[in-house]
Amino acid sequence: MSDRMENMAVSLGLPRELVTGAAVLSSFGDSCLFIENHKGIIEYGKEMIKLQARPCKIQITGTNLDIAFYTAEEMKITGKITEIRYYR
Amino acid sequence: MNRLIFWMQGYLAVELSGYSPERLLNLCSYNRIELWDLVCIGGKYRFFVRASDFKQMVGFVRKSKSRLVILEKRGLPFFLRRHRGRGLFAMGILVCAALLYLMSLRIWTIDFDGNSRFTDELLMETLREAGYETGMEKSGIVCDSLELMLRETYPEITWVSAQIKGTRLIVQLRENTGVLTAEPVDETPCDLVASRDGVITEIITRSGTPLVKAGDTVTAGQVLVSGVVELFNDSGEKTGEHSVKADATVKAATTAVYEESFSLEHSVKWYTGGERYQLTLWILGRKLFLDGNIRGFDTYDTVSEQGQLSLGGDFYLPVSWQWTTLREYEEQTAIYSEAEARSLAESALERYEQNLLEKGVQIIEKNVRIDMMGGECITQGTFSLIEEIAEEAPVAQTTGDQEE
Repeated sequence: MSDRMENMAVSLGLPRELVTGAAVLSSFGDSCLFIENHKGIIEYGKEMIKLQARPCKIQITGTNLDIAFYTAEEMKITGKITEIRYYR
Repeated sequence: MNRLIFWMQGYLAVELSGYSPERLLNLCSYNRIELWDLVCIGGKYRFFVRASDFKQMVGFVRKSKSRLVILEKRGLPFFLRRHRGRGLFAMGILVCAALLYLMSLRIWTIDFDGNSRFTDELLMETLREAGYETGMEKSGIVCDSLELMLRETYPEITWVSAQIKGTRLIVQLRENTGVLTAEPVDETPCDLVASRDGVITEIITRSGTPLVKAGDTVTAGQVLVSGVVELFNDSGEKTGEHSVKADATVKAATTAVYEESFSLEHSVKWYTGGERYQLTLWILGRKLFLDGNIRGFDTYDTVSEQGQLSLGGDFYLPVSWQWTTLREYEEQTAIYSEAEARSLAESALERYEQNLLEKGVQIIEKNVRIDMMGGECITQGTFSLIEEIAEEAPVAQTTGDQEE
């Protein structure tokens, strides 16, 4: 289903994240990470943040992790990021 | 910018703890409540939230089984509430702001730039007569008409630009330094006579009859070029004469005597170290003396410093000050040393020579001595010069028939 939607979005020239609702991650080095289209926080600690997103969960590992801002659409994570992992 | 808006609206620093704080965070984001600077400290979360959003958050607390504690209230609404008992202070701020605003509507200083012949005082007086002065409202100033008025009053001013910057009126101008006016040509017949004794070295006559030639010795007052031109017919007989304005360049070798003396004794100022001060303030054009204790010195130097209060840049206020220092001195007699006197005499001599050269005089020989005699420094000697000696004088004789 999701693959078919994605193919349709590509053929129509639409942004994929709009159609599929997939999370968009933009990082600035290893110190700053913007996440759009997240679906909420599952767990938040100084060394690890787990987020609910589509099509899978995201686990961000690092040290001194802070959330600079948190809104329904996007969030910004600052700190020293060592790993970004996607899992089901 | 965002931070400023948050500050205006008021925001809270909140600590969140309990069973499932993440759930509360998600509820906030789902309900479009913005959170920022979220940090995790020892299992508790601290963050900032708008004061208006916090009321909505309270409803989620039970749902998420967590605890919310307000740590700090920040922003304008809380500031005002904290200081509501200080009405006079607030009023003071308002009055101050109002006064500043009212003062910013007027001109408090007028500056001129680019003037060298016309002094600031003269231009200020002209502006005052035309109704422009410090303290007037800015809206009353029409820069174009001010510029026109200055140009019409002083034709030598070729360009004027007036502009208002802050509480300052700046008048920039350019003066025409080389105004050429056609001088009326005086055609009255005249002779050229020698202004001093000498030996003619060069004579070029443009009009008139030359009476001397190069090598002739002349005395002061002797006619060099006559303004009378005689007319002869073909047979060489004199038929008449007519008068013209004699014009010639006559250069002669002359001798000038230089003599200058000054006393070696002179007075010098000796500062006693006594100083008195006075501070004068002008507020809205009114003069206030803050310390009038400036009497008591017989002889003194006065040094004044002036300034005007400004809130940085061009925002001048109608408060200006003058700090006057009076330094007492006593006159004492001193004697120049020979070297000092010699150097003074030499510089005077140099000025004399410079003066001669500026007049177009050529110095051929110089024979000057500087001596100290009887408490005086005497400089004397002679200069051999080549200079222009012709000067105009009324025609000596106008007898004979005029040309018909």
